[in-house]
Amino acid sequence: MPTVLVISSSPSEKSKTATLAQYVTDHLSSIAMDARHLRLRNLPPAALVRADTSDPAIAEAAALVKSADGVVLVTPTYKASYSGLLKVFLDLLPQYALAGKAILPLATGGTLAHALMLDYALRPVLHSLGARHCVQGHFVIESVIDPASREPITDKRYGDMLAEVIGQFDGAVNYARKAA
Amino acid sequence: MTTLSIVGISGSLSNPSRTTVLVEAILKAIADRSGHKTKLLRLSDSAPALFAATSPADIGKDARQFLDLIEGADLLVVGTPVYRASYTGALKHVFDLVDHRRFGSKPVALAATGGSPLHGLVIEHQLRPLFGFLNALTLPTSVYAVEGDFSNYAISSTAIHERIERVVAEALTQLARSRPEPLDARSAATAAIA
Repeated sequence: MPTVLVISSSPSEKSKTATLAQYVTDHLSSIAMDARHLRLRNLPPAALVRADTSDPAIAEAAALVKSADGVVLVTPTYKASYSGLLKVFLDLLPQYALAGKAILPLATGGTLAHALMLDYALRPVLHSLGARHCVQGHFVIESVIDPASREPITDKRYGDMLAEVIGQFDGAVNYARKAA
Repeated sequence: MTTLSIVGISGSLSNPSRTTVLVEAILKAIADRSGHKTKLLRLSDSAPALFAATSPADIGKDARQFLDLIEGADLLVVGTPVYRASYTGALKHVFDLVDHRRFGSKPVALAATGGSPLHGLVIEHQLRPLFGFLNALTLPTSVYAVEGDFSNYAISSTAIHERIERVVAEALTQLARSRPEPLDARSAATAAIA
């Protein structure tokens, strides 16, 4: 079974970004993937910011990235870009940590006007980390995410679009596994 | 003379740091040319306080002072080492916490250091859009330096010194513009128009 790591990077405890990440994790599990959700806010901040990979929690998180066939990155949109918390984590990974993996970039945000941050801000960082198979990303507007609901994506159109990009990602993960 | 707040921030957590040296050099050139005092903020000192806060509402006193200096600056000098073809996550976290309404028309000098010339466009493609969102006035000249531009953590390249002079001249022009005119001069101008 392919392994997928879903990384959510909102620093807030109650987070629509984490809700989306859990939704995607559940969806991936339902299509026979070994999917796991890593919340970066649960990592020790002092070790994280110092890129201290000798810290057990940081080392475990980095090992999860290393062993995954695919990685889903879910970030809130802050100041028209990815969160500092996500970037701090990506900074401590080895230089080509995403090489050979399928990547799905996802973002949440308050305005659709910031959707291009996936392609203009985040994608160059992922390519710098060696990602060569980064499928189409998706920007989910906050107003369609309800953390309290059993159906957290409240707009069917967003659910359908997410299913579409997850399908593309599934294909990329299987391709990455074959190529490895 | 009006007291202006001129603040530099280095996105490096290393010590010593070429990025910090570059930011200090820009601050020093501003001080030498204008006589204004400048202040350097070191992320390496403040990172634990800043990272204890996940949202602006949770910010403690030390982190608040750090953010107040950035938000209240009349001129900012921002430098970052290039990590993964962009600014450092630690620097981005600081700007995630600031109030974007405090940056309108604030002049900002941008600088970055990288391991090779390959990442020279980081300022144009990552840093400038961030300050564009904040409505800040990024100065046209930016300074990108590589390891070979330093010797023993001092800037040894004349080209970098020249670029620093250019960005400092632009910074001082903006500071002179943003300073409010004396009231009597303004009313005289209004009278002339009428």
